[in-house]
Amino acid sequence: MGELLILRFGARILVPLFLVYSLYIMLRGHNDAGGGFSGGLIAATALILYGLAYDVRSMKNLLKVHPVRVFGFGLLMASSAAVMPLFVGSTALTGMWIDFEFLHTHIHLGTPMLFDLGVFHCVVGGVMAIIVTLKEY
Amino acid sequence: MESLIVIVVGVLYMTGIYLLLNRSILKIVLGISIISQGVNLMIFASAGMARFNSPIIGANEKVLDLANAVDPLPQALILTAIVISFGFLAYAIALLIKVRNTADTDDVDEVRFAE
Amino acid sequence: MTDFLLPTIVFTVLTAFAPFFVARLKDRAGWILAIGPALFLAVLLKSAPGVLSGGKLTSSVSWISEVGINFSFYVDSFGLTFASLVCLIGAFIIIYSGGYNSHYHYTTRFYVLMLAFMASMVGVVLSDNLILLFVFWELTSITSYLLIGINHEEEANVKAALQALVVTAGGGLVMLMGIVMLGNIAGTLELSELIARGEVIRQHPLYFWTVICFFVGCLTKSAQFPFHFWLPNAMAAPTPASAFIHSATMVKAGVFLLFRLTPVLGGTEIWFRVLTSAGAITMVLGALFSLLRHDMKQVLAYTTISALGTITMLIGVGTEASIVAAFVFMVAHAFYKGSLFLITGMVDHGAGTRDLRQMGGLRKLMPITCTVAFLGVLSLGGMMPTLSFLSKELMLEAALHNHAVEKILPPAIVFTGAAFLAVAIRLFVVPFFGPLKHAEGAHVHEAPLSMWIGPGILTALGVFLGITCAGFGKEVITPVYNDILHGHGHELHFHVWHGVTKSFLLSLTAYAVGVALFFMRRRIFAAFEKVEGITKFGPEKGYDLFMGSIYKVASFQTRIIQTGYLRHYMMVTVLFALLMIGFAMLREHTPIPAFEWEMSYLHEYGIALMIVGGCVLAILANRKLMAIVALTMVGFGVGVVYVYFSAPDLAMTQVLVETLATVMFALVLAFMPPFRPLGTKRQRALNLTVAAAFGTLMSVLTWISFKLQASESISSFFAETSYLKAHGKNVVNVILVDYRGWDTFGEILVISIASIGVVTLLAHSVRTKKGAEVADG
Repeated sequence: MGELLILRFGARILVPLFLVYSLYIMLRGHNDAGGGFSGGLIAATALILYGLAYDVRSMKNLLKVHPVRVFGFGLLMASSAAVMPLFVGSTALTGMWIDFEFLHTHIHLGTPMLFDLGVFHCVVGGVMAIIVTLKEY
Repeated sequence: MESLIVIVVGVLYMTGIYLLLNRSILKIVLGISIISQGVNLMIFASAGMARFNSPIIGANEKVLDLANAVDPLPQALILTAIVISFGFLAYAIALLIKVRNTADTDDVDEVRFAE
Repeated sequence: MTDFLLPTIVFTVLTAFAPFFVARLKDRAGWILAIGPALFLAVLLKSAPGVLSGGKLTSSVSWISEVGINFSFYVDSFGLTFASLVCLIGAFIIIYSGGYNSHYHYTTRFYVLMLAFMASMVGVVLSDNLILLFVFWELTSITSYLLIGINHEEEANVKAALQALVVTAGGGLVMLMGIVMLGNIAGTLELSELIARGEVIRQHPLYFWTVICFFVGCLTKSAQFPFHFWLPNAMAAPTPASAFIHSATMVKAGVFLLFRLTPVLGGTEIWFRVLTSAGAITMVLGALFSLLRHDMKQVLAYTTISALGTITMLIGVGTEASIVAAFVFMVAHAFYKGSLFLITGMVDHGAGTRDLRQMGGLRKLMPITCTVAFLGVLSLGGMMPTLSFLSKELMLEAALHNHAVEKILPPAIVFTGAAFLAVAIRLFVVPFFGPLKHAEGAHVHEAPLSMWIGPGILTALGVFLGITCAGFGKEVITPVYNDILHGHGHELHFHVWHGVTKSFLLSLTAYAVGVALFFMRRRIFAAFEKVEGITKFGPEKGYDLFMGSIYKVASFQTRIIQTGYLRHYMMVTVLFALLMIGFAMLREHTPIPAFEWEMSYLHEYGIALMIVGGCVLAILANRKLMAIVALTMVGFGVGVVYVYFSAPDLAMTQVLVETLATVMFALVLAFMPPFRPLGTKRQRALNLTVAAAFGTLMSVLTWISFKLQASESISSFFAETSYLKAHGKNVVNVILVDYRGWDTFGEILVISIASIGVVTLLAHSVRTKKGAEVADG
């Protein structure tokens, strides 16, 4: 397994970077190029890189839960973002925003971000489930 | 670039269809992948191929100036299409493996008799 | 109507948690689950005084109001009475099921389906909008289908379930046509408004077809001749389900709607003829067959068919007296028939058989069942002073005072009454008296409290309401009658004892004939055995022929159209698309702008060359690695196009997806055998021609889309509001997560479904197939 040394070492360093970067891409999506799709794909690529360098088992361990649960969670988030506006009398999926100051920082949160987070999880979970299954096969 | 894109789209479609008509199951999967690229490119082209700004509102502006930026709508359509075609491709590949294993052939004509 | 909110929520929540209750409480789960219907009943009874004195509860939520479809409910005294009956009987049957199901497999499923059915049935009787009514109507058909086939391991059950579904849901679809026509004629789909427009509707040229459609719907649902055959087969359902669905409620949905439509469609020649004759035939045939069966459930099924026939016939006669008689009979029937089914279940439970020839003398071992059965058969036989006696009297009165039917119907009613009495005596005397007989190895035991409480109370109510019919008539029947006929201020009077009238003498005749029939039963069975072959040629034969021909046509067209070659289907699809698009362009005279070659930058030629090269490589690939390279060239080439033409989001996603796709292909291709040339040269040449034609067409279309601006782009809306209203500067992303959120939602669903598909396709075969896989991979 000596020939994988560089790949494994690289993966160790790159995977956390990728994951942080994917979150950054996802969060900036509303105002700049990026979003749940690209972010999710970056995260999935990172995990797969890890899986190629090591093996499927350690990739699964890294994820802690079964990928199917990840996209289940994503669907749950996306649907709660869809349902939430119904409680204030708007139609489903209407964007709702709150603004507040926290530690002198202006924070701007809304249901579309929750929705995008749901998309992120769906993409990660879906892609991972597919690749893991194919790899294990 | 417009005339060039027209030809590229045509070639993508042609290749996709040709591969889909093939008997080798692997080629059919290739065809699926290529034809979806053709579709995406066609939708993308329908917005025009002029070199404009990205559909992102500038730092000091509040509205997108469509005179200087690309139409965002086709891009949104394609973005979902790309991810969906990935899912589609993955499913097609899973089917391919399954067919290959149960029918023990990569020729769809033989699958017919494998039952 | 807000009162109904709480019971509806409780009902739903309890149903949703049914698996939990069944797992924890076992047989006692029925007591908890019955809270839902009981609560609903309580609210109905609470609003009863107001509704019965003429107030109406309505509630309407706009649904697809453009075409008159609303989520609207309407509670008048008729709907209220019917819904109360459903909830009352339903609650008792759910409690009963706890005792009955103790040795049964699909308990949870059974409870959930029963409760779902109950909710749909209440929906049918309370909905105002006909489309909404239709939705609930079909829901009852579907839940009934699932309940009949709940023991799906047995083929006969599955067949019976399918038959019931095809007949009732098929009838429902025909009725949908009627509903649409009715809506077009009257300009409204609300029952409460239709009632006032009866005159207009009856004059309309489409009236005939409308009413025929409704007949098909109602007569199939209520198992009327010639559609009656599904009901006896439906007895494959568990006994509580049969009691509830196929006796007390669902089959009454048909006659319920006929009642409702009487002021809208009734009073015409065709209404009278069709309903009276279909009803009368069903009534007599049902009564006849009930005399001939030995399975207690079958006997009861045929008396149910007969009773439904009676109600249909009386609605058809359409006089005020006959409507009253029909309603009273319907109420009486709901009380006793459901209970008798439940008693059958108790006997079956205790003695291990339902065959009347194999039981006897159970009285000493099952005293409570015997008592309850006595109350039930008293009503079935139409004895004084039960409510059903009153209804028989009213029926005879109604038949005797109508000139059109006075010669035919009274004898038919007398015969039916006699048959019912004979059946009643048989159902009571044979199982409970005489020497003790029961199924081999059965441990005869009394039914538990949960099983006898419901039938006991229901049958007792049947007797009690008969005795107090004066009050019941004044408080309930009068307002219901006024609501059905949309009349006002009619006062009806009822008495248990009418004096020695013509109808009373006819009742006495029926009793005498009934007792005679009971004692002659062995001779009747013997006579029937000789002619039993005739029954094979009933309408069920028609159903079998119909279903058989569907299968034949299906297999014929499969043989003709389905060659089984994937490439044939592909070829047909492509050629058809080519043809249709070409045809549309020719017909519309689509202008095709002349193609002009524009000069491009050198790097643009480079990108194009990369994509086209990838395509050529994909076609020519004869090694697996080549295929991957080809795919990557195409994918990344398209990605570069996105980069150059200001689509950063797309470029990012495309590159990432291509990376993943390459990994995916690389993982898979290892297992695949090497490429080999397949197909003849001619085949390939043909394929290439078709593909080239299609590619050219797409090129032309792309060119047209460049040069023509058919309509204004809608993007300016997104461009203007993206930041100001949706708080996002990346317009593409805002479209995805906000404006077109549902599309994105559907899209992540697709991804989820695709990955579930992959997992289920492959994950389960990992262990079994891996060895073989490694061997030939």
